Amino acid sequence: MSEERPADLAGCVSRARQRDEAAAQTLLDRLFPLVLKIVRSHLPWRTSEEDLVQTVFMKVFTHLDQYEGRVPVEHWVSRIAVNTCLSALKAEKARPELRWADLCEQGQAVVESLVTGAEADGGTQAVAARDLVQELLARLRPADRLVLTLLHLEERSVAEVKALTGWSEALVKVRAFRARRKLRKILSKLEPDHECS
Amino acid sequence: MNVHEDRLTRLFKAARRAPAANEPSDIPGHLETRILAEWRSSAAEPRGGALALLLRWALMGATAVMLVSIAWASIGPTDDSDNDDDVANVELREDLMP
Repeated sequence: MSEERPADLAGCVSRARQRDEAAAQTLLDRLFPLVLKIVRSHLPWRTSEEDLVQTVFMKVFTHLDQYEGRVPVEHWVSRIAVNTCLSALKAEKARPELRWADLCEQGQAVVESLVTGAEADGGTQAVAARDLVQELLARLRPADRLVLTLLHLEERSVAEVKALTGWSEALVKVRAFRARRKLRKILSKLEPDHECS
Repeated sequence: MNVHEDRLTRLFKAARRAPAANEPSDIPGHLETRILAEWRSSAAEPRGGALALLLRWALMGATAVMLVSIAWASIGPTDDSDNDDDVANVELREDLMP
């Protein structure tokens, strides 16, 4: 079954090029979970998830003629989705600096546990940690945010990030290094002892 | 610096432990309808595009004709002897003053 899937999708792409609506619908149904996952991981602030999904699919349909079949359809669509999200992130307005007082109670608890070296306890703090990471990442430039999300939250390899973004391996590594440095700086400013000093 | 790096690493590690949000496996009907409608309307665009292309070529053609006419008027033959009035005047003058 899984062997047939890529061939099916490639066939759907061919038929959708000929304006076959059933094929377009199949592409939508099959690729939606993949696109939604990417969009949710890189959704800009105050942007509608559905609007961004729609933008991704319209780009996919507009560029169907450019799909050469050298990579699986899913890879090709993932790359379009990642680049669409990156463009949307670039259009996002810069957020104000994050301060200790801006954090919710759980967020403050996460930062305190980081400072004291205590391990995060349970799922609640994990969710708070994820929200805090998202808040911190939102203060970075879009490309920096993208590379850290892919490498450190989604645990993708450098090669995978290269394939998804089209950047060179060296660029991925340099960008990740610099982005981490910026994130460290933001996090250090957020710690309560920094706020008091 | 290592302290901050260690804290950042632990923060990412904790964030990765967060349960993934429930992701629907099926596309919502209204979203599918919206996307397909936009796809259908984009199919109609080439006809509009062809019309725009035709108009563009027509405009370029008209501009070219206009430029040739202007050029012809300014650098073309300026001999007024073809002018009927002038010819008539010359003939009249010759008749009156042989």
